[in-house]
Amino acid sequence: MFDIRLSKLTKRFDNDLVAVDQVDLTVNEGEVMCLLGPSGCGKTTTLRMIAGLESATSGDIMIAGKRVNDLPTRERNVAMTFQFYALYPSLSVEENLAYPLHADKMTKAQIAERVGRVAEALDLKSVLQRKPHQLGEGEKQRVAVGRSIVREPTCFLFDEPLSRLDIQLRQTMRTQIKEILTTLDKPTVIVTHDQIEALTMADRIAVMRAGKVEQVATPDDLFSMPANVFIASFIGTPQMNLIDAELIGVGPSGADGWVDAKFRALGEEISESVRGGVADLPLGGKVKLGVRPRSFEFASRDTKNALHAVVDIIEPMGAETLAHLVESGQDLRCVVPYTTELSVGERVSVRAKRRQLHVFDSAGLLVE
Amino acid sequence: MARVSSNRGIGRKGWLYTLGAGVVSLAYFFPVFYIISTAFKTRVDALAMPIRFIFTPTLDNFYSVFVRASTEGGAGTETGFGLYFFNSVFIGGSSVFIALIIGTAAAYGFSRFPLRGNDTYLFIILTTRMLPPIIAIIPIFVLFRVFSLSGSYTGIIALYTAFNLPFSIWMVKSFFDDLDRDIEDAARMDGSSEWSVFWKICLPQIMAGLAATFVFAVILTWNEFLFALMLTGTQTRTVPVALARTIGGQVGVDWGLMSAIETLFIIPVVIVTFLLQGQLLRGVTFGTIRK
Amino acid sequence: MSRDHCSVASNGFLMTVTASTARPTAEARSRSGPIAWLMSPDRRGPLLIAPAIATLLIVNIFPLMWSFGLSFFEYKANRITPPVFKGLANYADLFTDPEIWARFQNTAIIVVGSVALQLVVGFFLALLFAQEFPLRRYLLMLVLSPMMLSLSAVGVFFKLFYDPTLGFISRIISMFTQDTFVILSTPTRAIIAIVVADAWMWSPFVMLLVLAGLVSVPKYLYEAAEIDRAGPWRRFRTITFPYIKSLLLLALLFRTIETFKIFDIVYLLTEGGPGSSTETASVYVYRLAFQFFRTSQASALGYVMLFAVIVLTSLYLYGIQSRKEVEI
Repeated sequence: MFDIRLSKLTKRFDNDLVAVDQVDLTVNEGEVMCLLGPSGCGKTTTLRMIAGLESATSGDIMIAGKRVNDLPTRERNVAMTFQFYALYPSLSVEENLAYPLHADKMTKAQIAERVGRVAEALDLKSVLQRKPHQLGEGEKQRVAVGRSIVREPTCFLFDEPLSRLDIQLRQTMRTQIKEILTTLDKPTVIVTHDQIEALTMADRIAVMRAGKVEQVATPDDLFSMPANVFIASFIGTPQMNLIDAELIGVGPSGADGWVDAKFRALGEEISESVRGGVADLPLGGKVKLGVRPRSFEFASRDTKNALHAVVDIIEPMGAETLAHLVESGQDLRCVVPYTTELSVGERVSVRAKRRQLHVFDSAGLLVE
Repeated sequence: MARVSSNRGIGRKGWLYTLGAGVVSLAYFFPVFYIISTAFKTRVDALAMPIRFIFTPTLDNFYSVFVRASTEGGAGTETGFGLYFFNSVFIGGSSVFIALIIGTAAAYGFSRFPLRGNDTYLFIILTTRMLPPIIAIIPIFVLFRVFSLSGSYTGIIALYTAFNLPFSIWMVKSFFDDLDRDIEDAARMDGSSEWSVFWKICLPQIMAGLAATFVFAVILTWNEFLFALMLTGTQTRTVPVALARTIGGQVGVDWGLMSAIETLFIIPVVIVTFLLQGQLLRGVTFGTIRK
Repeated sequence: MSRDHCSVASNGFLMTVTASTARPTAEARSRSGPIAWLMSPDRRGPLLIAPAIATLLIVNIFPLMWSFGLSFFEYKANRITPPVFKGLANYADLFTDPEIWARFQNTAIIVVGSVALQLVVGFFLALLFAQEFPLRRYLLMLVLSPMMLSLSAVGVFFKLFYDPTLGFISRIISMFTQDTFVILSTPTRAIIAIVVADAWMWSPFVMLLVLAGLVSVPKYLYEAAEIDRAGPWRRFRTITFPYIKSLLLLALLFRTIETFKIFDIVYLLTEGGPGSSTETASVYVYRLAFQFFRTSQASALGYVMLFAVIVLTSLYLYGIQSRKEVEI
């Protein structure tokens, strides 16, 4: 069973900094798991602990069913692509790709064959004899990836693989890596701070903050059901709107688990269909309403359940326009098609599209 | 040789290294230690064999460096070492100072206004440093006699200045090369004159490097022996020469005295080396190592 | 930075015109005459470099040229007789004089012995100090202490250390050999004594160079090698060694050049003895010039040495250049 299991994994550094705090995580065979989070959240440390480059303070790291905490890196047989590529400067691309295979005691012919296949797959045939300092950024990145996939390791680890590439290269490589990863059947862990990378490449994403795992879910679930306010604002660009509101009424639960609830926000009283858990909240209590910018639609003054605000800044984004609205000291971000007519200072009305409103309780947790 | 981070073998393995390094360091340091400790020994203790590690320390030798006890008793006569130490400082300091001024100008020129033959010039400058001093000494010795520079301050300072130039130029040029040109361009666009750019922008940034070069060059000049031997007179003698001369001519060598001289002489070098470990490396490798 | 300059002579003044502005710059316009000529951008470089070059010319190059000329004459510095032209005779004498070859041989032995010792010991020292261990910084300082002594002190004190009765080195050796070690008793011992003293003083230098290289290897390369399961020898060969290869070469050349010129230690320790068995080329030149006053011969010999040094220096600079290219 080739999987990775982390249980209660903790890393405390000498100065009492707890970088990873009781992390539980399972990466299944053939699954691509992304560790996503802002800098300092502990994702890289976690990755390095799986690789054996950092020792775990407590907890268990199981790879392929074996507890590897006390095994040195070389005996874990993991493959890793480093953020700075870590290509061996004095060796050619071919030698770099062949490097890990020497430990597998293969014949020269076998090594050459493997290297050839990988070079073909990553389009590196033309630069096989070059040294790393003669390569472009994208080529270096492909060699780093190639060095990982040329082997038969227990798992694949990637540390911010695309962070050093420019936007265009990033898009190309994202697709290419995703393709390659689907052909491999080992668990893969990718560390990134770029949510787009995570959303496109991962089967599941583990969002981390301050050493803890906030939520583990598929990209879709993460997007549509963020577990708390942090994740809600972290995932999705432009950022989700979090509107301060007061719960003033809850209707009867429907058969599908959704209820109609009444809120006071931005000086208005609105009624929306939300998830049933709202019924457990105290009336009059403070909540946050989460609405993504694209979940707003412009309405007319007298539309029911609309919020009114003043247009503050207009940012054209090409096919869409991002409008910043202000009301009662709160900002609203709305994304509308570029054809919408807007002017600064204009008073407009917006309404959340049906069932695209999230409710977060006073602790910041999603109400389900 | 794996220096993998948190799996550091500090613990028993680390102390093993310390032991080995300790033995080695001892081998290197012992002669130095010998010299320094002998400075504090009385004559009897100094010459005792096997080496006497436990002894009553005395400061007599340090005193004798500057004042030789008179054989008739009463006030002693000055040995001249006060002068010699002064000479070393004065000659070394002035020559390096002048070399830095001329050298910084040249370094700025090489760096900011590269000429077609830049590399050749730099090469030639470097070769002057590589010369066996011994072949330069003959004509210089004669020259000095012709121009009555023998034994004067001017002569030896001029000579040492020329010695320190190549090194200063190379070091300072590497500092200028490393500067961010954007700041200078911004200043130029704001209307600064070239002189302003140099004086107010480039120079302040490399001050630390200049200080390091100054000190490093002084160390190199401090210990110079051959030319000082030939070209300084009684009034301008430097300490290394005086040290070598003290060994002869007396009945039996006063090793305590010699040690005291060298110990005093070494102090500035030690302080400086301690403070400037990083820059030393850069100078020695001509800036080819980047941290 | 390419701009087209056209120099326009106008009213006897020189003004520099840049094609981009097609108007004299404010600077050049405000001052005219020789100052303007000096201060123009074209002249700045040479102007800044001039004092340095001048100093070097006067103090270094000129005497060298003169000395070079001298080597073609017969001249003794302590006689009033004018020099007599002898062409290449001095150089010819040099090549036929067996004494010279003996001196070069001595020099070669000392250079090879000392440099080899320095490189080997320095290299292993660097390996040792590349590790992290307690008290590393302080022990490192101790190892660097020999380089802080002045050469004359090293010469003088090592003479004491090698003294049969008073010197601790001789004492220690005699504990092993059951025999008193008199440094000047045989040429071999004298040479060994010099080599050890020189290597003692300069192996920390080699260590510093190699250490700098070892320390500059990015840690993540070793991590990658761990991941790739490379053994220690492989790691050394593919990662560490390339980084320090050029540094070792630098150390080799630099120390060879310096040791070739060795004078102070030899002169003070053995004065070239016993007899002339440890007399190096430098010491011989010194003798020729200042004891025997065969000035022109000394000059000639000096120039042969200079030539050797120039060849070595070129190699040295070539080594630096190629290191700069492989800027990893």
